[in-house]
Amino acid sequence: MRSGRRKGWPVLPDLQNRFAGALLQPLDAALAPALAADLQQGGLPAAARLTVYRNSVQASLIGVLEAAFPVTAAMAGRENFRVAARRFVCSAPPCEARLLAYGAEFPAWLAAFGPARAQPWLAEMARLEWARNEALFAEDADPLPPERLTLLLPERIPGLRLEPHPSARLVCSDYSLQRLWESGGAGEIDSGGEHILVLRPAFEVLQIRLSAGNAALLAALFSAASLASAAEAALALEPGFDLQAALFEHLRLGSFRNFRLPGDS
Amino acid sequence: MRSGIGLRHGHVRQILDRRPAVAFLEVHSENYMSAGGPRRRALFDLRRDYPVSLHGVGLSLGSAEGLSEHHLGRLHGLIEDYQPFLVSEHLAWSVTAGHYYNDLLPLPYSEESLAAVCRNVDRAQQRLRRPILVENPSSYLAFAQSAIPEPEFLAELVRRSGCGLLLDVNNLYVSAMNLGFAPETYLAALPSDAVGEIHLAGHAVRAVEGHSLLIDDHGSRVCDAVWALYRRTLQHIGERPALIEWDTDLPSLEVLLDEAASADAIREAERLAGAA
Repeated sequence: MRSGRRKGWPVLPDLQNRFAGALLQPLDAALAPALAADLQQGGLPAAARLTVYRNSVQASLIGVLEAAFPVTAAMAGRENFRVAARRFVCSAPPCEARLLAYGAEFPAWLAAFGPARAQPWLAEMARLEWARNEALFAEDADPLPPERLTLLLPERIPGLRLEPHPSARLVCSDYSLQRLWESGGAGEIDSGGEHILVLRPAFEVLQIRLSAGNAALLAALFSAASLASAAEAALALEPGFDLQAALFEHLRLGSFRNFRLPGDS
Repeated sequence: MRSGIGLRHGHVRQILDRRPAVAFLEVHSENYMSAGGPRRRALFDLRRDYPVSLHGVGLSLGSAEGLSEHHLGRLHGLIEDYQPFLVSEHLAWSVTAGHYYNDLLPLPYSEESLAAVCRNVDRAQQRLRRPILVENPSSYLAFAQSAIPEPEFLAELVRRSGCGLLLDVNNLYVSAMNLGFAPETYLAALPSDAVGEIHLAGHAVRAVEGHSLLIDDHGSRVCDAVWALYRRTLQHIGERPALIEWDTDLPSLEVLLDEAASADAIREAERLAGAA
């Protein structure tokens, strides 16, 4: 072995991976001899020094999730939520520094998290809160002015394709999330089922409860269906669905940003 | 007022309404890297009345694997949008193997690290088309392979890359206490002319296994020892834009303004003492 030839080889990539490994794993396993040898000894033991970084990384990321999912956290109980959040943070740390985007996968992860499986409404509330988070940071856009539609020839209306407002998110749940959310998670859990449109036409994030037909209409429009086929989807779910009233309501709310007609490029 | 404050979400409404007389506002760049939203709009509004400084925590200048071009692109977009008078980052790393650890993690001060940081600062300054300031970290441990003292490491970084420095006086104090060096020696070895901004903040003192450890939590007023070190810093390098940072247990805006006024008073006193 000619150790002299190894002098000057890069060691920083390995050191950073070792160090990062120690941030999210249990400390005994983490402070492997290799990492201990990386640190200067003296005074406070290396493990205690490393713990400062571990605590900071884990606590700050748990804090990011607590801020993004406040009602879910209140429903779960603060300590339970932190247990779940810590597990999530350690298994799926962020992939980028934009922490306003961290947590997108948390609702699905929570739905599959063993201890929370008996309370499926927690993951549903997390889904609603993430929709709110996305709406908050979505691109700003002026909603479609209703008068632009009233200028259209009636025969062109069925082929209309309405472009959703960038902030619009549709959350359909088996639980009555709206009342629960309004009560900060303290209300009765009711399996009534609900469709909620989350929207930020200007500054405030709004939550609007929709009928089943109205939700089917929006879901179809948001996946680029024509108004005629979206209306069919709504009527199939809700006989007697009032398309005109629903459309006016969405124009008033600002659910759309623009529209296209058949033949538009 | 001559000093600035860190803009935190809990104070935005009040600052929009009252427009207090602070010298500038500093924000964490990453918090504004969204497509839209009220937070970005509020900063556009404040930008009309205040110079803005973009202070990043996520670029990871110490990463051996280099910088994220996505992140750099977003930072460049923010610079175009807000035209900051200062852009700063840290002598630290937070990204490895595609994961972001949301902390300012320590670097060994070796030739290899110096080359990596220089490469990354070069790339950042090229992409952002402006020099950046690099902040001294608060340290809780030192690496066995650290062969270069931190101020010399920073001096060499400045010399090779042309970047400036952000001197965090609280970080300097915290590191000096935790690692056992004299802050005055550090100040003397720092290239004073390169310092473009000064940070001031509070820290916590914890007893850990019979040792006292200072934690840079930005959760209290600046302590007397750090104010004293700020005085010595002013005597040594002169006046720079100074900023009060506060992140955890955010107090009322009045407390922050009061801290900024204290920084002003010290600067004024030092100026008079210098003139006498």
